[in-house]
Amino acid sequence: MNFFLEFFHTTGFYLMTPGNFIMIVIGLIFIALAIIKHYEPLLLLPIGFGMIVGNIPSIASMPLGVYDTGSVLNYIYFGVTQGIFPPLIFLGIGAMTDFSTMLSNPKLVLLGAAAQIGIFLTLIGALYLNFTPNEAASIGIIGGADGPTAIFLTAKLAPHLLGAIAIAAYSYMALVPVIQPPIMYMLTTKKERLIRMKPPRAVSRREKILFPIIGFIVAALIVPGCLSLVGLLFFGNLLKESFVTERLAQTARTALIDIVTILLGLTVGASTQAQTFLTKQSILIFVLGATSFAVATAGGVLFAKFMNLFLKDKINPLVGAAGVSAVPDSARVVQIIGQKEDPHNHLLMHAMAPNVAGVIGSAIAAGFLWSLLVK
Amino acid sequence: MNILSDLGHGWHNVMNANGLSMTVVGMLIVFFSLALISTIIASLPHFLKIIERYFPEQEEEFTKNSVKAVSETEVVAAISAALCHNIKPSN
Repeated sequence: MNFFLEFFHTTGFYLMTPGNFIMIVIGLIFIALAIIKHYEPLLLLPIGFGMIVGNIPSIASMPLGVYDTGSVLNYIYFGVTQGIFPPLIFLGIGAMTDFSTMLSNPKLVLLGAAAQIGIFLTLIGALYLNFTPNEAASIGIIGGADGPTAIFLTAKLAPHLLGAIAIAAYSYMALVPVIQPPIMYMLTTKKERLIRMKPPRAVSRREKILFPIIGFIVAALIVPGCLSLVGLLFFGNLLKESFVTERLAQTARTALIDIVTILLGLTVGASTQAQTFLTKQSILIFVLGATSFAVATAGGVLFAKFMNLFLKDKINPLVGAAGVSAVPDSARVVQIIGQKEDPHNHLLMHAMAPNVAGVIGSAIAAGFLWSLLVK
Repeated sequence: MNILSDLGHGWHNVMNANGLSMTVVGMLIVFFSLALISTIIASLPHFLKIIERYFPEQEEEFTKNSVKAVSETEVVAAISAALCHNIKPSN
């Protein structure tokens, strides 16, 4: 009987807290959203399952969780805490990204820059709420709408907030089709939404090869802190565009990115243990995260309207919303809203330009904040 | 329970951490970097025109491993075959 009682005291049923139970339910909701609603399934399913895994309680002498030295999850989580997984994801993203729309209309790159205002205004908001500068920078980077960048910077500056920030970043990326449209409608007129843009020009192979090399050298020399993210992004792109390393590009954009996504999603989800996740801070992080997305969207749209004051060939301001670097969801949202106004107005390829520029911009912003705040 | 007052919020936090300077400088650096990249991209075609005088761009040699070019005739044939398959009455 004693043995049975001893064993019962080691079970998850006995050790479960209300917080663990809540987190398991949230994990199940994420899984349901992924499978039933198809909301970002490649991210929400591993994260949701990881939440369940991370909130099964165990006794202290059994190293099982992500924070327990020597556990399998801890070894895998090393890739998150040491910033290994995010650059590898960027390698895969680079190998699947086509920069030709950005190369054919370079002024749209500035919309990607403008959308990064969401990062910095949210940083101010987080400082106002008495977060430390490192924490505020990690919260602000959610506005970059780039999960790997958010995880990379938070792992460097505020690893204790990794769970909340990663969940907030990926959740809001999945909610881009919900968050962005009201802001886009509010800040544009019907006439502006009907603007048709000139079709993009053809881009030569040499341009597509030179761009990742030059783009990396310029970005890394200005902000060395972005070296690993931007470096692997452009390296992956060069693998794709050179046509001489198609096998490597294929691996980067398929097997490699899938493996890393599985490991990162699962361990980030497992890091959201109730004791560290269900806090007042997490609620504020979620509120600030939503604000940063909204501000970033507004920043891109408003800057497009500002640019139109000086341009003969006008930019459809909706395209500015794609400066939020949730690739390709925010570009898709622009296409859908544009087509609601005019079914023959195809904005997707134009929106891809600020969309991919925003990836570069958020990586540069992260590199800047890391350079400034690293001890 | 007031979360805000619990956390000691206030503009003094922003000033103490040089929040405004960080924002202004950060946005300037992001803008400058992307504007520089944008300028270089815009100049690339002109630069490449000069290069192409001495090193003209060759047509891609298609090898087993490279992406195969598909002629318009082949595309039309493929589309026609797919359409025929779809409209064929089932037995």
